[in-house]
Amino acid sequence: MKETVYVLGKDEFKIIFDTDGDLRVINVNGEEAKFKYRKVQNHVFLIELDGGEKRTIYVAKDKEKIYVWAGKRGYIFEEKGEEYSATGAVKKEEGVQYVTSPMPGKVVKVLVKPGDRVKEGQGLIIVESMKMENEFTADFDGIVKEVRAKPGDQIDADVPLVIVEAESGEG
Amino acid sequence: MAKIKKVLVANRGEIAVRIIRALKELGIVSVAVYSDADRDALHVILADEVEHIGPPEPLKSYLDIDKIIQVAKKHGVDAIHPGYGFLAENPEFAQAVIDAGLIFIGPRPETIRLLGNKVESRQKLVDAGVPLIPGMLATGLSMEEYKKEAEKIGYPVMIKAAAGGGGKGMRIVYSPDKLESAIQAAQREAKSAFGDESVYIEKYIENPRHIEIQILGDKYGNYVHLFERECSIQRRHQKIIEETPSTALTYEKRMEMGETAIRVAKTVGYESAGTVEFLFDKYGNFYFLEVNTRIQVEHPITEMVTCRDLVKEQISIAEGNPLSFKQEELKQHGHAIECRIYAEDPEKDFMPSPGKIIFVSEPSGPGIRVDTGIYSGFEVPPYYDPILSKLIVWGRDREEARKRMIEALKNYVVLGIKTNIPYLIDILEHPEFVNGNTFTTFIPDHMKNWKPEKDVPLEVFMAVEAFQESTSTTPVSVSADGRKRRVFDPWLTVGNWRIVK
Repeated sequence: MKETVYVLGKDEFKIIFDTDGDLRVINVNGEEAKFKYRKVQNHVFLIELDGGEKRTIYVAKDKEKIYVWAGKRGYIFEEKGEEYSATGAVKKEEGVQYVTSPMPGKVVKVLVKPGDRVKEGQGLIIVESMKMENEFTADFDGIVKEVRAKPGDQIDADVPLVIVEAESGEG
Repeated sequence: MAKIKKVLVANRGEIAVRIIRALKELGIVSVAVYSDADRDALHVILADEVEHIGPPEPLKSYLDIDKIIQVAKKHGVDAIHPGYGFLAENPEFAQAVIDAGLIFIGPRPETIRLLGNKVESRQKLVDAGVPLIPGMLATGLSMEEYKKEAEKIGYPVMIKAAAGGGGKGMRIVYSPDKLESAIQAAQREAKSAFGDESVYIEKYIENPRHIEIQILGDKYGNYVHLFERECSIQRRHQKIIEETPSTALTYEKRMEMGETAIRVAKTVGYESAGTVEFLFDKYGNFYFLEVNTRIQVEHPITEMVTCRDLVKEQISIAEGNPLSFKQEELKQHGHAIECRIYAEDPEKDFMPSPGKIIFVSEPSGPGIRVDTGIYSGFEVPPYYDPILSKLIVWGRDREEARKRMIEALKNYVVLGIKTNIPYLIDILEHPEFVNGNTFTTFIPDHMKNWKPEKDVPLEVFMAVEAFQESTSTTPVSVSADGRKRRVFDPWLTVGNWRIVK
């Protein structure tokens, strides 16, 4: 038996996976189902459901994410518990936001400096990627702890650019 | 007539691949150029000769005119094909190619220059009787003069701020009795938004569609049009789905627009392939927007319904051949739709999604064409336009093409980055798209708060666990009851560890 928590956006799915002879048993947030599967080639899985229905689902994985295509929708999961990014440098902590770009690019503008008070949703830094400018914003009200990038910097994905600390309730 | 034997393709991505394929079929040697970011790109893999032209930044590579001409000379090419984007509509580049003694596969530099100057070209085309959106740029008129103008243009009219943008100071007026109060309101709004109260009047286009006509011209004054493409499905002025024929055109209207496009071509002496863009209203009026002096992204749908190869025709024209077909020989067969596949995240305001593509499986089957720039293992660089490929389908009628496209999209597997494929499927399944109610306002009207289905089917997790199990390196043991179990041996997880005492 194996237990994993997968994160999809803001949703969490607790999966219990087990075998029962030829069958596999899965329990997703309390809902249980049996199935068989066959790996046709790398990334291509035929899933046979209990009632005999068949699904073809595509799966791939890199260092931190699991990519799925289910014929109309795609999903990108992260396994909970692996809370270190590819650089190994960022640990997720309560009340601290490490602002990172999900793609490599160039820093166009830094909108804050250390010590600045920021509001939830306030723009912090603008990164250009694929001819588009993307603004990254504060997740919560807080204080800018550190700025690690300057305009013109070529940056990699998932590297902290700005660090924001939440303001404590007591002020 | 100059037989072209070797061509440099001054582009990247799917269009470079498309052009190289045409060159190979014609027995012409292809030369690809690439930046640091594109060393392993598909166009580099396919071309006969390749040359590195610099760092990833477009200005230092794909937009560097001197370097590209230098490479063209080094490889001894006869001609350069610019594709679309980058240097395709840069008259200095076209001129530099000619000055280097080479053939530019595209319109003459002076045509590109003229049509790039909107004011000058519009005046020329108005004089030739090409319809423009009725309106006037005069501001600061008296209320009486505004009223007279509005009558002349015909209601409904749109009031726009001269300093405008972003909808501020804009008013739509349907009848004369509402004009005065609307102008005053627009002036107040313009004043507070831009500090300038000047407004002007233009005809308001109801339910606008973007309909364009493909044209071809040779060096001998022969012109043809290859009918229309409707490209109304746009997100922030970026086309995402194109189709032909348009559901809005009758045969007569199609011919009228085609003849107007040819008049545009004749007026400027257009050579090579080009596109005349029009705005089309619900009454069947059409108004000239601009001419795109290049091969367009959406050219394959025209190829599918006319059974002609536009890139090969461009090359033939550049060699100095007359057009290889006459207007009477052209017909539209069936219906074609194109979807642009972008590396972007439709759930997060279409943020670009470059990165490594772990696995790609492209759709296939009758009537399906994929113009692609990607493959399994390719790393999509963050420096360029996020277009990955174009999926084009042909059907005997629109409904067959639409259903074929939906099935093809469902079988278009791209793992490792995000794409707009789920978003495209939902547009194609939208009742208003099914009914052909495709206006340029389609995306804001119907797709504004788009979210993918929230529920994750159980089989998705089944596949994830199947994948984990099949790729797991954790040893599996078989217990006495014959059941396989993973071994969770704590010693295996300790890593660098030794007993010191």
